[in-house]
Amino acid sequence: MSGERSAPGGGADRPVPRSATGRLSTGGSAGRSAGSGGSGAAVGEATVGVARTGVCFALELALDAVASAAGLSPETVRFRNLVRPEQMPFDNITNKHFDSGDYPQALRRALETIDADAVRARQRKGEPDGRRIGLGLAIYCEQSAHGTSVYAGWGIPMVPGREQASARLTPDGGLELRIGLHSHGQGLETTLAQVAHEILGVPVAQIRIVLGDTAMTPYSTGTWGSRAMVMAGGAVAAACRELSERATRIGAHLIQAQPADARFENGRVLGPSGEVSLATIARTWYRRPQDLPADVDAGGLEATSGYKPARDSGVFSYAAHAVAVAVDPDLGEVEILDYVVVEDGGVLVNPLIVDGQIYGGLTQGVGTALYEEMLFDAAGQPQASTFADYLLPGAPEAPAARIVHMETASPYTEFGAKGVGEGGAIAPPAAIANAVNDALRPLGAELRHSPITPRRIVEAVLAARSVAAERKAAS
Amino acid sequence: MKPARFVMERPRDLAAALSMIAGAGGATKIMAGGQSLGPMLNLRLVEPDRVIDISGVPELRRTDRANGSLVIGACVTHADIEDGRIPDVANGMMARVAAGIAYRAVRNRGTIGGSLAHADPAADWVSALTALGAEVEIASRARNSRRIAIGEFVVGALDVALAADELVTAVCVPVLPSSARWGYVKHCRKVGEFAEAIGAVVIDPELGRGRAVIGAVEAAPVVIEDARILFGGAIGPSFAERFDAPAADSLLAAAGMSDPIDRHVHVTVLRRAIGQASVQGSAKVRDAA
Repeated sequence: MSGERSAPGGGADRPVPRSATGRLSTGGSAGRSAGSGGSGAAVGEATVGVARTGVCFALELALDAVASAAGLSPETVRFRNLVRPEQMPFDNITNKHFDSGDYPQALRRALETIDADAVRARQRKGEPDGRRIGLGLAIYCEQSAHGTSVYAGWGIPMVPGREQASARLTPDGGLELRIGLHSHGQGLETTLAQVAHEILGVPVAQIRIVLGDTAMTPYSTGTWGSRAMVMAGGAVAAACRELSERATRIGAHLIQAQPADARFENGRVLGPSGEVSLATIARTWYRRPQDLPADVDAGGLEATSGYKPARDSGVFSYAAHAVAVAVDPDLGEVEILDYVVVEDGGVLVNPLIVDGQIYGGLTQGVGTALYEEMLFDAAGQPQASTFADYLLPGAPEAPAARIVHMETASPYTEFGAKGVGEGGAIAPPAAIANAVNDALRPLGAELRHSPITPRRIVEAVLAARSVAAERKAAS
Repeated sequence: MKPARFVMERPRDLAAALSMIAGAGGATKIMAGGQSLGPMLNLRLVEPDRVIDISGVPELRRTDRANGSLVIGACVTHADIEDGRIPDVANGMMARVAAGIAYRAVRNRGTIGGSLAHADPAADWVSALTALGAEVEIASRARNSRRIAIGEFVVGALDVALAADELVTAVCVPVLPSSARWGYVKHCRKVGEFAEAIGAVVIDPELGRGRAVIGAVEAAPVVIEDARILFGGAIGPSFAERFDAPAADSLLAAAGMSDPIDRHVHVTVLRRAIGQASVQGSAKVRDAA
């Protein structure tokens, strides 16, 4: 959704990158110019982690450049600059309010898990096949579920308010949840049912989810900005709590208790002289209303409620990525030997689903780092108009990553949850570029553009070799 | 996308196939596995009126030994070769090359003759079979069948010396002497992609001769029929140490490869193919295969 446009240029006889899409650069010029419309070159499209991937790439490559210039390890520079947990919540110089987190611990765990010492020992030893080993780090944060105040401040048309959810008990004791936003495949059907189960105790198998249909659900601005779990999860919790209160008032009649003496617990209403299940309450309300007194709560067993976090400036999930690569300097091939993600997404509703989101994001990030590129020839003809030419990572290219979870609760959200939908894709281009540069640094070669194609690596290595040869000749 | 409308025919035997091809009017394409033609049809890069699918012709799936060669039917699949369902006459090279073609799903259907007739410069068989000194057998209804060397058959990118009424029926691979060693290295962007560069060599240090091929060059491969020029004029036991990279670089420049990075990558894969051949204890490799 960056809306960046690029203009066709002339003169180059090889296909040259013209589009910002799928390409990152720490430089200011190549391929990033904002051109006039009507060029026929591709325009940026909606993606995950909008703009974050490029920011992370620039920032993390700069940190490695600082480390290299100062003769420090990349982690030393980062440890010195990361916000410490005792500084949380932390307002940075651009007035971003970081709610919680322990960034240094994430980096420490990433270094331990990938065994940075062993990777560097192997790097010093050298490979029998002449490839070079590199270790790369990258840390990012993912501002998630940022709401009204942020978007109103930015002055953009779409400003989200409170997310709403409807919860309804059915005569068989099941539960229907109606939510305006939608699942893109990230398993909201499961995680939102878990939230309802947490509040009402209804078995997940008896919960039906209806998403994203204004004929049946509340309105919503939708699933974006890593907001669904925090916003819809909070709304489901609020609606289920409201429903539990109604069920308690009805259930109290069935156990001859004053509503004030009854309480709701684990799917049952308990009173001084007995208890009754939600299923019985539902069956009575719908099928045996004659068992209920005339002054029963007429609102019944349906509730719609809304939610936004106590503070709507966003809650920050984050991760430290560490990757070990082997780089073939003569052919430019990059093999990912190991990949570690230490992710802190707040309190996780479902770690397995979060793993899936991280794996998916990581694979997309590997594509950005090594493969995906929209090239145009000198006449403006797109050179990658099918997947035969636009390379995506396939199963063999997806790293067998190891994921470590941290769970620092957000002080502002229901359950302490944070959004994690986009993060996996943000750091891989930076981490992989830093790893490739770590591998090639002794040769004097450095890559600053994504994708890091074999050709770009060979180009950089050959250029560095000829510089070295000239120096040698001059001395 | 879906292909444009075409008529599909499946001849039952070779005579029927040759008749259909001879009688074909308009644009006709022969399908021998469809692993390249299929996507090309779907992308409408080709829009034939008629497709003749020869994969069911039994004569084209046979393999025979004749006069020091293995005659491999055009419709023998890459997987047949990978899995050893045809005899090994190349000290294991054919199986190794086959196993590296695209993905297994492609190898299950794609055929050796189809690949050669398609003549994608980045295809494995075009380079590997040239290094082995193989020939193609060509038949037509009107004339006697003929054999020509792969180097003469593949005249350019996607361009072969085949008349409109002719069909590739077999590939004839000469039996490699046990003293011969081979190397085959390709460089791809990712698993299953077409090669960016191929180096294929067959070298016999005992006889002091060899052939080298530099493939995936956007045209017919660069064939070094007498590879001694890559080794300072002679091929001996320590040939890999005598590899003359500037000589290979000059050959590529002379063949029109103007980009120095392309040349570096192609010379590198050739060097590695030669290195692979040099460490090959030929007896040991035969045992392993």
